[in-house]
Amino acid sequence: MSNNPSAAGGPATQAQRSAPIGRAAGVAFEQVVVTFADGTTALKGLDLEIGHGEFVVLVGPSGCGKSTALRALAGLQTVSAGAIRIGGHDVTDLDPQERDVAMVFQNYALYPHKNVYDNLAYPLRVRGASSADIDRQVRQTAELLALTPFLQRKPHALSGGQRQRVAMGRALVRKPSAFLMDEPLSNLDAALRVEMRSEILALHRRIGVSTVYVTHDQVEAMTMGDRVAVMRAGVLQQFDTPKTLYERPRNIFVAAFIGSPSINLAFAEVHGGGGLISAGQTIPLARAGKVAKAGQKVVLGVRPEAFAYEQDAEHDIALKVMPLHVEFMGSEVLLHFGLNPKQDAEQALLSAVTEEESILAKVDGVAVGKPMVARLDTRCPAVAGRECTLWASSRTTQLFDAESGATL
Amino acid sequence: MTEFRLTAPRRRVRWIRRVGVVAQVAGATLATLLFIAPILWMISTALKTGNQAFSATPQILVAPTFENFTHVFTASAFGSALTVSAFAATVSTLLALVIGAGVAYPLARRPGAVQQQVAFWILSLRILPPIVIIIPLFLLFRSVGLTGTVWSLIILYTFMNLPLTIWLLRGFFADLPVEIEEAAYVDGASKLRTFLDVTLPLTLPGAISTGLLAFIFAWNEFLFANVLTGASTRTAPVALTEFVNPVSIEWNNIMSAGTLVVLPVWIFALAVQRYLVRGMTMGAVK
Repeated sequence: MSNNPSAAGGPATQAQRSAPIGRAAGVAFEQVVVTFADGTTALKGLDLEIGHGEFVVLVGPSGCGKSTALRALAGLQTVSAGAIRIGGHDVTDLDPQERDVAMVFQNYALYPHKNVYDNLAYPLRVRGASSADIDRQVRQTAELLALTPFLQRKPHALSGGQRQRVAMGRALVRKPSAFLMDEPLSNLDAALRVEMRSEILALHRRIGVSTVYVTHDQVEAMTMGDRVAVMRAGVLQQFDTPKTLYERPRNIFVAAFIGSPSINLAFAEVHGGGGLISAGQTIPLARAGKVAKAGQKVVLGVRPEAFAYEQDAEHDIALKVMPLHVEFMGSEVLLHFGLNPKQDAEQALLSAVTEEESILAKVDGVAVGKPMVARLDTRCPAVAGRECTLWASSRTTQLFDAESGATL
Repeated sequence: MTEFRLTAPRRRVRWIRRVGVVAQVAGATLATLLFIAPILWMISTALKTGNQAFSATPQILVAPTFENFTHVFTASAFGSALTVSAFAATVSTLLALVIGAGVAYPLARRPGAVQQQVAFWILSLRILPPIVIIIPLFLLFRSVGLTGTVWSLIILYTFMNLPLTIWLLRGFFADLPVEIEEAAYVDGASKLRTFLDVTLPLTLPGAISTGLLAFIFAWNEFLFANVLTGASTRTAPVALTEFVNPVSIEWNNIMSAGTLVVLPVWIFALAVQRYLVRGMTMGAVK
């Protein structure tokens, strides 16, 4: 089963945090199944355990079930089978208002008829807090989020970033057991998104409440999560620290989903000597012989940053490549190339563009055989159309089964 | 010279634009007069004596007299008819709104093929011409002993208005993003509390416009009121016919009573004007 959370990369970061304020509680999904009225199954037995005070990101392509999982946790989505626990208590059959979770919605879902003060005060009001308590906590939260000057404004008179803050504040104001965030930054422009990212992390460090954050943006997932759960089609693919996901993905899907530019994938065959043969050239990768049988079809995965244009201790595998074009990015160049050096430049370009479909094949839904990308030093002398040698790192090179896509 | 050449066509453009504005204003004024003229004529006739109202040469400006209004209230049962009308229209409108909201909300929140069918079936009730069912209804109400009472009208108006209120409210509820309600649930509010704190205030403009339309229908309804009410439960539109008798048509009294019928609706509409505009544009401007 690919949906078992990996034991590696547990909530180790918890120890590094400052003492959590409030009643931080862990969250657990136990074999949770969600089937919609139309028969589609959005979650197929999700198992996920989130530690106290941990910041966990659910990430995956659209339709992978990440938002459904969050809504199930909030109580907004009925669970067909399995159980959900918050702080050790089974909340599967509880209504949202009984779960003591707070949620930030993608479109903020502020109450448009209430001003910022009343928006922030609402969760406290429905709990019957005294007006003195409400006032103190609302002002404290507004201070924390720099919303004090806007307390009397209605949401429509606020900017996108301010609305986002109010939504955060409404969740923060009552110290919930868990924080749920459903793509809270997707409506903001790029610059503000980066700013809010670190702001959310800083808030989380301060409050220390277990947080489940849903996004489709793998960069957001990697930069924010203590641990990241990669999902696809309702099944958890891997649940690990960003570093483990990047370096030791469990399968080809996770490898391709994490990282930008995406990992380079090429078909290869294991030969008797323990190396690989890919696109007509022999690749001396000793590890290949250990994880796979001679003659077995595999997929070779090389991260764009695992290439160098000169040999050194780390970059020890020579690859003859045909550069297609060179993108100058300022601090680095992105070299797009084909792995088959026998093709002349024109052919390579043609195969990259017009015949792309024919040279592609999918392994576990991931396209293999696309032109590769290397992230290289700007001193790289490569020129489009002239064959050259690139050096790949054998240490970080990954191998996947060409049938199942599982990591070898 | 060059400057003159440059500004001359511009001046012409400005002049044409000005004529355009004048034409627009004139057109709008004309249209307004067209719609408002019968009402103005009604009010002016209401302020005339019987002879002035019957004069073959129409008199537009006369010394106004209020004796028609006094007559309408003292010499006829029009005052009580207004009360009956107000009672029937208000109660039936409130009932249609409350029941309608109860039906419209689930229809809006659980969209699906079945809900579409139900909604269309509800609307189709409105297509039926009332005259077709007037005799069965009369027999029905007589068999339960409700003929001649205001309750028969309240029941009838409520159900006549339900398709309208359900359809309009369904649209207003559907326009309200469900996340706002979900936010309230997660914030700790119960379903009822969410409806009262969040859904209702946000759909109030829509509910008020809907209520006004339902009220006008019930207030002006003549056919059922004429058949189902007795002498003591006559509504205002029915009472108006009393000024037409075999001897004469009392135009001045009809017009003053008519003014009294129009007045409450007019005042109500003015009072909720702010909501009306918002309710009508709520779907467009989020």
